[in-house]
Amino acid sequence: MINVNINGQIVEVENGATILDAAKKAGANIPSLCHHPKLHPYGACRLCMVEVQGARTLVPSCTAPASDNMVVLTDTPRIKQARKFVLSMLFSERNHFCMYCQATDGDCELQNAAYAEDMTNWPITPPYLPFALDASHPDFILENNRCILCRRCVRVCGELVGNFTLGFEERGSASLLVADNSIPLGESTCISCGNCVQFCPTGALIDRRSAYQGRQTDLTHTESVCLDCALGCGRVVLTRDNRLVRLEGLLEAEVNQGLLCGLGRYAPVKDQRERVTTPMIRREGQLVPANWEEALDVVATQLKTIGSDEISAYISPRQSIEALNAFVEFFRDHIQVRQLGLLNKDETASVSVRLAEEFGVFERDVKVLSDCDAALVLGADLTDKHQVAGFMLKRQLPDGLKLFSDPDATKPEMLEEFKNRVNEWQTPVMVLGENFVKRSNLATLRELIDWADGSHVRLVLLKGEANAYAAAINGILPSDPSISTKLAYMVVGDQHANPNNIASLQQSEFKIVQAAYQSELTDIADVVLPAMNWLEEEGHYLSTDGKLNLNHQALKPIEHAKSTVESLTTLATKLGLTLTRNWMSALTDQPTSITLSL
Amino acid sequence: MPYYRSTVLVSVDPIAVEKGAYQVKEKIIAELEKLNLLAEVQVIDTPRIGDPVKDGPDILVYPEGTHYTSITVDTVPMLVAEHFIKGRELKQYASVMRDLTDEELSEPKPKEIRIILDQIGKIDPRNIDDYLAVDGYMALGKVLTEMTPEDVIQTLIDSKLRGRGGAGFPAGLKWKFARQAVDTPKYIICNADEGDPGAFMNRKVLEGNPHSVIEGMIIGAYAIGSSQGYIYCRAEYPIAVSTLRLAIEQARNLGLLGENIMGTDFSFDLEVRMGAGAFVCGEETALIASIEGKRGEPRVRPPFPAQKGLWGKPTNINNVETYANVPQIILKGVEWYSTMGTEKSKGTKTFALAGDVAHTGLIEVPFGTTLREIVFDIGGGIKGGKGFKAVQTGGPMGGCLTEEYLDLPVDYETLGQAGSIMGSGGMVVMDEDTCMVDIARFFMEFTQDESCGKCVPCRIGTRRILEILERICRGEGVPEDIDRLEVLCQQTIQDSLCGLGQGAANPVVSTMKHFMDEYKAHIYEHRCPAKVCRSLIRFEVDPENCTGCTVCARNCPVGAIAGERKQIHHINDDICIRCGICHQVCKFDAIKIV
Repeated sequence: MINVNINGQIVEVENGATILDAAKKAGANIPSLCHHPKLHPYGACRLCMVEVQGARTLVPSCTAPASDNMVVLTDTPRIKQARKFVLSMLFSERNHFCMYCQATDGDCELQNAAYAEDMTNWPITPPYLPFALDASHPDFILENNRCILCRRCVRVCGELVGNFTLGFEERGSASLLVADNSIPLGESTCISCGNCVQFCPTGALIDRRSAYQGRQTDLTHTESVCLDCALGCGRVVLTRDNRLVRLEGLLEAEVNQGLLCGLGRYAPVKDQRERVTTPMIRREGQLVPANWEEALDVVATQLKTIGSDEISAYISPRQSIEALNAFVEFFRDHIQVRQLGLLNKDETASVSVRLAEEFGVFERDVKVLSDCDAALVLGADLTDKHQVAGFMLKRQLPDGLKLFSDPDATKPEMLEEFKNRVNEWQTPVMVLGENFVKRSNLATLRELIDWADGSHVRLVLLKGEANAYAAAINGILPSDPSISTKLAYMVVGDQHANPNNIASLQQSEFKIVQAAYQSELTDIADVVLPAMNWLEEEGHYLSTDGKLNLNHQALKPIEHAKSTVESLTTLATKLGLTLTRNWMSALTDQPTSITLSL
Repeated sequence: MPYYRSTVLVSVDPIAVEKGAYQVKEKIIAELEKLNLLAEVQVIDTPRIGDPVKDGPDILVYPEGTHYTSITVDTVPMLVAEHFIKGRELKQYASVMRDLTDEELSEPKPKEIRIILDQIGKIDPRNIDDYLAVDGYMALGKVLTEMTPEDVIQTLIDSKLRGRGGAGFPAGLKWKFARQAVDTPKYIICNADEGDPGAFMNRKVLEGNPHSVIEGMIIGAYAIGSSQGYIYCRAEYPIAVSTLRLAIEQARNLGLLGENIMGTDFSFDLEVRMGAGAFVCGEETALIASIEGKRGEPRVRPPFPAQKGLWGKPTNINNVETYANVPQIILKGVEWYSTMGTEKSKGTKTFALAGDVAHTGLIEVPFGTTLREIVFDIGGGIKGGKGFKAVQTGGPMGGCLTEEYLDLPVDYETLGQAGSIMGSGGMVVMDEDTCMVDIARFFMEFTQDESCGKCVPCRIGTRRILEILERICRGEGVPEDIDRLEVLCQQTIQDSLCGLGQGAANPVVSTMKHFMDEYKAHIYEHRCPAKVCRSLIRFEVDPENCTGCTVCARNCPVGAIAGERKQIHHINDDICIRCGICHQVCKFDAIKIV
């Protein structure tokens, strides 16, 4: 630890901390533009210059390491003059017409910094030269007129996402932000993760759907967790007037460090499905609206009349642990149905639970992917699902990461090569996904785990959908399509209907669907119960590396929609049952392949 | 080494090559072979001799020193027969060796001491034997067999050799830091990205004596503990690149590069990397980024390359001239080296003398030589008997120094104190007809174009400064521009990330300091005192001198000059584009600039 004197105040910081870190600790506000806490220090904008006693020139605080007994001043006239100079230069470079920008009045770091220096006008007239606007991308717009060339977007695209789509052409004052070799963004190698938009300090990268829908301060921020795969990325839900506006990566989140993939950022805001707004009962072939009382009466009657051996119950892996728990207690412990099934075919989670009974803990935290020199990705396409895990690997490729990728698990020779060469590397990792588990029998998996156990390879299993792991620990496994029963109760929630689910449902004579959105499933149902979606229903989720995350309620539920726990509890009451199972102890009772942090 | 009675030097600069220099060379060899003279006459390449070639390459024959120009393949048989069999000059192609005023490298003047440039033109750069014959690689042998790396570094520290790239950091200390760095592997880089306009000291060394640099680098590699080196040479120097590649190959074939150099445990190899024409890649961190295949942009130091350089590993990076000094220091000793130079700057420095000076070209003088000695004794004073106005040292980021500074001894400190820099050794002399505002504008145009665009002050500041200077040169300057320039220059210097931005405003600051009257004349009187800025001058025919010869009218590209033969001509100012051709072609001094 070292002591740094910031404006007369002594603060203790760790060795290697920058002056900016120390100043932050001392509560001194130093403006910066190119700096971003998640990116490598860059030192380009020169806004964060400070005076260091003994230094000949001003020092960029974002890159300069603090040293013991350093004396730093952050707010002298000399510094303020330099700041004003940098800002007036930036305003003179492009067409920063603030009043037309959606980032104005709070969201623009350039404008904020100027206001903080009491700047109310442009000291130098801007050039009025138009710069190219690129609106070819479906999710965001690149507006070069507002670009300050800080390169946060370029750096997040390369340094963190590892995609290297964004870059600069030309040099000096002709520098221009471009995609690939200066082609439209929409035609480029962009994977639409939108992290550049989130990292842009001005209005140069504009989110198409949320532009002009309110400043950051007008929006309600709800820290939450992404449910679009099981990585458990931290996500901030931005809402206004009980409406979803935008999703952003949570910078403080351990697994994703502020990043999101295109799925997690854009899929929910693009969702155009119609909600189920009221309970419905099929009468004379037609679904007609009913109230909860009537609908649950019909369901209760059916459950009582049809033998438990003729009942199947299905649940979506997007449901919370509380919902899964109530589902298990109600259908397995009380009704004792013939089949308890997950609306998902990915067996990775259930296999990992099964193998944990033999091997105990054999898996490693997902963050090992961020620090490896060789990686084998077997049976998972990290450019499709679990993309953030893919980012962790991709960004290390320029540093020499040796990457083996076999997404379909059809190249056994690749696994052999990896095994043979494993001693060449210091920190190898192996990622197993759905396709490998599907194609392998338990014996193969046992052999692989044994081998990994005896070497320094670190093993990570990707466990499919949001809560598939918790479902597997609770004993809910992917359904067996060969079993057909008279009654099917399907807790769909906000999951998209897929052909397998529809086929399973069609086999039954009496179909009960609890869903947030209308779909082919609700179309063929005999009773439809309106459910909440992920924004409305609060609950816990277990990530692929065993972390318990809470999905906070971000929106007030629509009228008539009930949470899964509430609807099942009400139904149980109708049957004279009470639900008392503790979801936490249900998780801890089961051996798992990774240590759970609950 | 064989002994030759004659040596034929064939010029192979790009223009000569285009005109068939290599074909001529082959033909000479073929003819000599026919006459069985190959054992007696040696034929080698040399960089440019004299003026740019016209119909064919120039050749020089030593020891006579005969200079033939425009030699073609067809004339070779006659030339060989006349010169080497009959022993007489082939008169129609022999050119009188003028006092070599505009060559790149002429005979040393009395005040010069040549260490770096000494062997250039005397040895064949494409034959390692020539270098070996002048004690080449002796220093390496001494280092590898008699000295520890620490000894080498101590010798260098004692010699007070300072980096010749511009900043003048003690080379021995730099090596020591790289040696002390714990991380491995370590790299050694030679900065041969000579980008200053008009400077070509490094090119000459690489083209004329590449092994001196290679030997210096091998010694450096031994001292810091590196096994891989890179020479980063700009692509605009194709001959230097090919000469270096050949030299590296020849050194490798002799076991001077590669595994177990000279039979010792020490292994080291070299690779030439070509730059893509960005001036900023001469900055060490940008150069490193460029070698790594990234965009050539500087990064903030610390960490310095000695800790984290190429691929994040400890790296030592020096200029061509710095490395070329090393073998000499090792071989001749610190004492010898210390006899040259000033207290803090030892040894010699090469300069590319350019501009309005009688003798332009490369020179090499010991530190402490005054600017007056350089400009007047070595450079022969101002061309055409005009008055001296200023000398700009250190390339586009240097300042302009006036008459009062002429007696300053040239070294790193004094130039810095005078408001200029040593730089890599550019030296532009300006006569009284130079407009200092235009000069500032010219250099600003260069630096703003070469700014990489990473940091705000350099990217935008240089642009804004240039805009104001352009405005002033057009006669559209306003009084506030002086203050604006002062603030812009001061802030750009103070806030920029690398040396490019920190030095970019030097020409403006120094001209504003010494020639404020010229700025004011442009702004307040809309007048260019030196009559250079086109928007502020007019061309007029002087009726006293005009003979009506019509030369001006015939040469005017826009037909702005009217007048009958033997009548006084007249220039229509509305049509005139102020190209100045009439002024140049008039033999009677009848075109006046007003």
